[in-house]
Amino acid sequence: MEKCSFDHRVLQDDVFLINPGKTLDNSNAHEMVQALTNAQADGFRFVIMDLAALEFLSSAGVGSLLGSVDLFRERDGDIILCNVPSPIMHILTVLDLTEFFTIRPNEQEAAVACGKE
Amino acid sequence: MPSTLKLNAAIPVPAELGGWAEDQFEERVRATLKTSPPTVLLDCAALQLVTSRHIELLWRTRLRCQRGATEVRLQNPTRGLMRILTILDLAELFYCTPSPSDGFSGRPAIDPGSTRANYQDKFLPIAGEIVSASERFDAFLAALPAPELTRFELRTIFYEVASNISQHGGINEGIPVAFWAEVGPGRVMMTFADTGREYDPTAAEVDFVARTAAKQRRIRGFGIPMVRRMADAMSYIRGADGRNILTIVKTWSL
Repeated sequence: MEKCSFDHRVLQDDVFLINPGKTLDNSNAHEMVQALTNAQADGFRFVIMDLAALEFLSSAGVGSLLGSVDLFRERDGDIILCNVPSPIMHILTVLDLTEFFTIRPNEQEAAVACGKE
Repeated sequence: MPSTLKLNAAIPVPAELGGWAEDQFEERVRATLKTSPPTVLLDCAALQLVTSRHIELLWRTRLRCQRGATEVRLQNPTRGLMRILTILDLAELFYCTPSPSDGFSGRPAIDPGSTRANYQDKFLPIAGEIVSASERFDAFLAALPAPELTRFELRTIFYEVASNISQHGGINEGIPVAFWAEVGPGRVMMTFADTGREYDPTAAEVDFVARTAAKQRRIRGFGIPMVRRMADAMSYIRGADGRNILTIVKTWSL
């Protein structure tokens, strides 16, 4: 895996987990796009995005996820969001993205959504 | 000095323009001017959210009155209207009175003290400054008697608008963006004034469909749709001095 500037770990063979931290905004959205692009290039079909610590999600942050998700879906994978705090869920709701993104309450259920136990 | 008591009743300026209410307003102005009064009173109490069309209407009315040597006074101007007139440097051209019983003092319509916002700030349109300004506004919001999600939305709106000005306004980074927020019962009105190129975020077709945006690998252009969906009302005016004045109202249930 190429350098990823966010907290991350490999969960299982083709599942990669990223924790973006407290903010996903103009300051790091480009890095998120890069991290997701690298993960896909390295053969990970799924990325679980653990948003538990996320306090602020700007439109640039939304764009980094939305603009990258088809990289994975086109290869039968996905970006799965989990541990989404209520203000962040509100942002996704306002943008009508709660149905579009795969969202699970926690990491375990996100792993299940990847077809993993 | 004319007495208010001898004047025609104040003509209400309608909040909703483009329909019957505006026609009614125009008709009342026309009828009033036929009597060649020394002064015409325009009651602006309904203008909680001021758009460029309201300013145009007031300006047009002032010109009509001027042709007949009639003075125009604004009655009950809202703080939002006073703010916009001040920003547009039109304040000195109108006179006001809070109510007819106060009579006319001949003082300028805009008392600078009364246009003071509950919160005001200036910041350079660069990333670090926007973050700092966002944190200052956040501290102001912490004391706001609004639901937590509303405060979160207000902070998000501030950040998105400021970022949009910085990234897309073609703005001189050395000229600060001015920001005001006024709090009323169950509402906040935010005003941004910047010197960037003309851009009306209320008119632009910027909404998106998630599936299409994802297919296009689109990573930008979600800020204004986000703001538009969070705001209860927005208005935009391009000032005669070349500044963009964006006003956003956010309300909540008390």
